Amino acid sequence: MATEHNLGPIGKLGNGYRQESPYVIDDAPPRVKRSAFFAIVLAQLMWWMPLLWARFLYAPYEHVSGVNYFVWSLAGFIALASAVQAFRILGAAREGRFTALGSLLKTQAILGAAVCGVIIGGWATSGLAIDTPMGSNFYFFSAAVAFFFLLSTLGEAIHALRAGSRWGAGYDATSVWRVENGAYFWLWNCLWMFVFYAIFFWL
Amino acid sequence: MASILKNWAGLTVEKAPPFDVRPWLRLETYWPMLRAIMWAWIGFFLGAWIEAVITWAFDGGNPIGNMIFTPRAMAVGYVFAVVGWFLGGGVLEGWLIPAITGDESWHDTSAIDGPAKFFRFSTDYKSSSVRYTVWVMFSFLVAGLFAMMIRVNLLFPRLFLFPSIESYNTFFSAHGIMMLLGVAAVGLIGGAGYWAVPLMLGSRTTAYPKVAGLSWWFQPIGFMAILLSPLVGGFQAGWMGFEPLGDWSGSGMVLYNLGAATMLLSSWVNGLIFVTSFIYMRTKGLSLSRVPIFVWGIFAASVLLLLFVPYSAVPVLMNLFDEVVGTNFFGPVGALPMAYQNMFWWLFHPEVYVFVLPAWALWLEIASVFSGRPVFAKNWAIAGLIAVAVISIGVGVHHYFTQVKPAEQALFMGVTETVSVPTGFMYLSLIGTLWGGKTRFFTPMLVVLMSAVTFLIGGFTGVFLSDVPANFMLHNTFFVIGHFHYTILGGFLFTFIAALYYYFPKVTGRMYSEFWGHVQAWIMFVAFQFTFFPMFLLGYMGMNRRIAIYLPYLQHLNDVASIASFILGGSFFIALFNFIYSAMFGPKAPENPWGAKTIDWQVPSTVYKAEFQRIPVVTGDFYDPDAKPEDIVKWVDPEWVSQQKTGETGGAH
Repeated sequence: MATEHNLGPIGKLGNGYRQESPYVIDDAPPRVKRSAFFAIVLAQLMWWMPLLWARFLYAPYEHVSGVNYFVWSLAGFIALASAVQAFRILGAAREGRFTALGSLLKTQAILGAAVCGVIIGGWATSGLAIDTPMGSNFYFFSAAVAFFFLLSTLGEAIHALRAGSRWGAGYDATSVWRVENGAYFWLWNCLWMFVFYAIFFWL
Repeated sequence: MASILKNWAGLTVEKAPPFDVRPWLRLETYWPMLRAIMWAWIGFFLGAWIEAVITWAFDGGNPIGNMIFTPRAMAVGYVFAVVGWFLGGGVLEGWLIPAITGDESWHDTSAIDGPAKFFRFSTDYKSSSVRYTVWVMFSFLVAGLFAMMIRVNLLFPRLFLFPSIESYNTFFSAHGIMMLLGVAAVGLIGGAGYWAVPLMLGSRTTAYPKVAGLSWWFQPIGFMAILLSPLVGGFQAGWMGFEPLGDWSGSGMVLYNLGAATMLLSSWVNGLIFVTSFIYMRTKGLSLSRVPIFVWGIFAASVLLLLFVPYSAVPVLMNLFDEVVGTNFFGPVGALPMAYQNMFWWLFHPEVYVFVLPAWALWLEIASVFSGRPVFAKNWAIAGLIAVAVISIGVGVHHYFTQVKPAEQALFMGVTETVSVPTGFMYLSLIGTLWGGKTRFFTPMLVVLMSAVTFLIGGFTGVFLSDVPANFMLHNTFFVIGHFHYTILGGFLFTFIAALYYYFPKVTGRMYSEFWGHVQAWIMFVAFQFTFFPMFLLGYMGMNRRIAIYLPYLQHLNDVASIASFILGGSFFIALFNFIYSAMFGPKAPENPWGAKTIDWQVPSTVYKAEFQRIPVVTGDFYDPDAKPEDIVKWVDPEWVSQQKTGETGGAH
C-alpha cells in the first residue's frame, strides 16, 4: 500500500501501529497480517495431501466414468472466470480503488455461489456409484472443493456487504488486507479445482 | 496499610482485599455462554429436522420421530449446532457484524471487565487461556470419572458396573478421546500457551486474534458430541475410531467423528496461531536466540499440529462420509480399512509429542527460575525439541508393527528408537540447569521433578515397545496402557499441574497454599505409581487392553491399580479446592513471586484490562543469572506517543 506508512494511530492503546478502530486491541500491522495469511494459505496444503494420497491409493489405475462432463466443465469455466475476477479485485486493492471493490466483490460472490450450485448439479447428474473406490474419492474430493468455495463465497459476500455498506464502513488502505486475503484464498481454491480436474479427468 | 505475611514456604505475601462475589452472581456475566448453549440446541434440532423433512419428502417415513437421530440427520444437526454455538457465544457481535459494518465497538474490552470476559467470544488471549484452563479441568474431571468407572469395573474379573460389554467399550473409548483431544492436546498449548507465549514474545495480541479467540469454542461442542454419543448408541471402535469396527456403531460413531474432527480443528487453529505469532509477532530485540525456551516448545508442537492435524482429520471425515453419505473408504468389503490406521497415525504419533514438547520446555523454564541458573545448553535443548518433532513424523507405524512387513518393522524400530537421543538432550539440559543451583522447592518445581521422573519411566518402557520382538509380545496389553499413561500423564499432566501452580499468582493476583500444594503433589505422585506401575506387570502377565472381563489370577494387581486410582483421582480435588479457595480468599501474591525474568512476569498482576501500555524492547538474555529484569527488558513509549510528545501529528487520523 503506497499510503499505508503515512497513516498514524488512532486510539489510546496503539503501540506505533495504526489501530483499525478506537476499540480493538490489534497490534499486528497489515504487513504482518498479509504475511501470516501466507502461512495460513500454505498450511491449507496439508488438508489436500491426504486426498491426493487417497485418490492414488484407492483407485490407482481407474478413470472417472459416468459423470456429466458438461456440468463439471461448466463448473471449471465459472471457477476460471472467478479467478480472473480475483485478480481484478487484487488490482483494485493495490491501486487504492476502494470504491470499486463493492461491485467486484458482489460479482465474485455470485460466481462462487454458481460454482457451488453447479457442483451440486454435477453430483445430481452423475451416474458414478458412490460406494466404489473411485466414486468415494471423486465425491469426497469434489465435496472438499465445494466446501472451500462455499467458505470463500461466504467471506466474499461479507466483504461485499461491507464494501457497499450503508454504514459507510467500506475499506481503506489499512483494512483492505482482508479483501486481499480473501482474493488470494479464492485463487488457492481455484488451484485445487484445477488439481481436481487434473487427477480425476486427465490422469 | 497492607499487612505483610509469610506463607508456609516462607514467601512474603500481603493480605488481600476480600473477594468480590457480586459479578459472579449476575446473569449477564454468563449470558453469551448461556445463549450459545441455547442456540446450539436450537441449531441442532433445526438442522436435524430440516434433514428429516427433506428425507421424508424424497423417501417417506416419520420426520418427527426417530428420523432426527439417523446418522445423516445427526450430522446436519451438528453442523447447525456448531453455527448456533459460535454465533450465540459472541461471534455474531464480535466478528460477523463488525466484519460487515466495520463497527468494532463490541470489542471495547474496558467496558467488559471482571468475570464476564471469560464467558464470551473474545480476542483477548489471556481470557482464552483462562477459558482453556478451566475447560481442560472440566474435561479432565469428566474423562477422569469415566476412568474411575472403568477401574471400578476392573476391581472384579467379571462385568461388574457396566450393563454390557458394548457400554464398557463406549466408556473406555470416550475416556481416551476426551483425555487426548480435550485435555492433553490443549492443556498446555491452550492454557499456558495462550497466557505466556504472546506475553513472552512482547506482543499484546496473537497474530489473527479473532481466529485465536475462536479456537476455544471448537472444544466444548466437540467434547459434548462425544460425551453425548452414548445416548445414541455410543461407539465401539476405541479412541482411534478404527474402521471397520466403527461401521457397527451407527449414530454414536457419527458423533465421535464430528466431535473428534471439531476438537482437532481447535488444535489446528492453535498451531496456526502460535506458528504465525512466533514468526511475525516478536517484539524488538527478541531475536530467535533470545526467545524463551517455553516458546520454542510451543512452536515445535505447533508446527506438528499445523502439518499433521489434517492427516488425522481427513480420515475421520472420510469415516464420517462412510457413515453418512455412503462412500466406502474403510468398509470391510471392497475398501481399505487398514488405510485408516495408516493415515490416522500420521498425526497421532506426532500428537504425543504435541503433548510433551511444551511440557519439556516448561520443565526447563521452571527449573531455570527456581534454581537461579541459566537453561543449560539452551541451543541443544532447542535442537532437541526440533529434532524430536521432526523424527516423530516418521514413527507412527510402530503402533501397528504386527501388521507390516519385516523390512518395515526394522526401519520403523530404528527410527522410533532414535527419538530417545534428542529426548536425552532435554534431560541433560534439565540436569545441567539444576546442577549446582540453589533450587527452591516450591510446588511447581517439585511437580516438574516428579514429571521428569515419571516420564523417564514411560520413556524406558517405550524402548521395550519400540523393539519389534518385545512389541509382538506386549502389543495390545496393559503394558501399553501403563507406558502411555506414564508418558502422557507423567509428561503432560504433571507439567500442566506445575503450570497451574506456577502461573496461579500472575493470573489471579493471589497466592495458593504451598502446604496443600505439596500435600497434593506427593499424594498424586505416589498414587500415580501404584495405579500405573502394576499395569506393566499385568501386561507381562498377559492381560489384554480394552477388556471388561479378565482371568481371576490378574485380580490382585487390578485391585491395587483400582484403589490407587481412586486416591489419585482424589488428589486432583485437593488441587482444585486449593485453587478455588486461594483464588477467593488467598493472600495477595507478589507481582513476580518466583523472580522470573521473562516478559510474562514483568507485567502487573493481574494483566487483563489495558495490557502493557509501553512496548518491551529486549536488550539481554532472559536466563542471564547476573542480570536484573530491568537490564533485560526496556519499556519504551510507542512511536506515536513519542511523536505526540514532540508535537508531531500522527498522520491521517
